[in-house]
Amino acid sequence: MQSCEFMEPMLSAYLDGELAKDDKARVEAHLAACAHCRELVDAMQNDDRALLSWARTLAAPADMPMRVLNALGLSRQEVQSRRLAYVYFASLALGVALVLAAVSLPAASAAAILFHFALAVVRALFALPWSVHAEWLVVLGALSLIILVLSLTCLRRALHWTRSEVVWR
Amino acid sequence: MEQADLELIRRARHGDPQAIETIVRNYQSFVYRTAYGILQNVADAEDATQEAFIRAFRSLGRLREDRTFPTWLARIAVRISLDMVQAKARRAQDPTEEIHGSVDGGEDAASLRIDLERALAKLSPEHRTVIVLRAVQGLEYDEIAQVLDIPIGTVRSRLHHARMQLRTYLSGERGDS
Ligand SMILES: [Zn+2]
Repeated sequence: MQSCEFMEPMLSAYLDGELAKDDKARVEAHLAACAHCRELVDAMQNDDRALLSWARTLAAPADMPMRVLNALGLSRQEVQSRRLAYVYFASLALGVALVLAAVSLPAASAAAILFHFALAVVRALFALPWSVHAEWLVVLGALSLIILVLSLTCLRRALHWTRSEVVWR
Repeated sequence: MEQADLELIRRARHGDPQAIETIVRNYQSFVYRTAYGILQNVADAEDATQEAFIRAFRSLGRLREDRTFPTWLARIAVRISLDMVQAKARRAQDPTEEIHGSVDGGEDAASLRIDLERALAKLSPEHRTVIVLRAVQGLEYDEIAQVLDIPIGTVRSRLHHARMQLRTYLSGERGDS
């Protein structure tokens, strides 16, 4: 029979099933004859079991996923605020691009065309009194007055609503 | 690793928060127990766990084989924990002073728990690591060799010494044989 000092270093690997065939056979032969080594293997096995059941009582904090996401800058709030920032900057960029296009592109002298159109309308309005009969002017004046009154009423209503809304809050 | 796990890793690589959340939930016990086994302290183990996940997700692009994710994660966790042990040892003197564990509850279970933690604390960090990877996480020797970046022969002898040491401390604590 081989000595215990020679066998002992193999017992741990034997326990783990990590021994080559012939070594395993040698250990088994020794264990069959040596109570001391048998006890040692049993004790190591018990230690392993105790370690396992001890470890099973250990639990990571429940908020670990949140902590990790926060640290990575991937939490919901952060993602949302980043999305808002994207929208804001995208709108800003779009606005700037539109202004630049309107100013610089020759095709988009849309602003100039609009300006000329408005000018033509104003001119036509000034020319109106000379081009129609006096009774039509009266009708036109009355219509304008009605529209003006209506507009003012609507405006007052609108102002009143917004004010009461502010008070409500 | 199952197909669903591999899919989660693929999504996490693209920064999908839900995939990351699920992976952390699935592996947090694995990482935390490894860290606690080495560090023997709740606060440190929590920090190490968090740090391990952060580092893993930041460098997920460098993981070649998604299949090896668990050992790769264990490797990161072990390295962080051992670094923390070293940093602590440089600052403090006695690593056995902090023994955590609820003493209430079943008396035998509690005292066994304290015995175990005390005995583990007396082991060297390297011995603690190898014994936790084997007895708690059930890793094979070749996996432990990968995690610790050491030859399999070293895994075998280190594990033998760690178990013999633990045996000595435990039988000393318990007063048996
Ligand atoms: Zn023997």
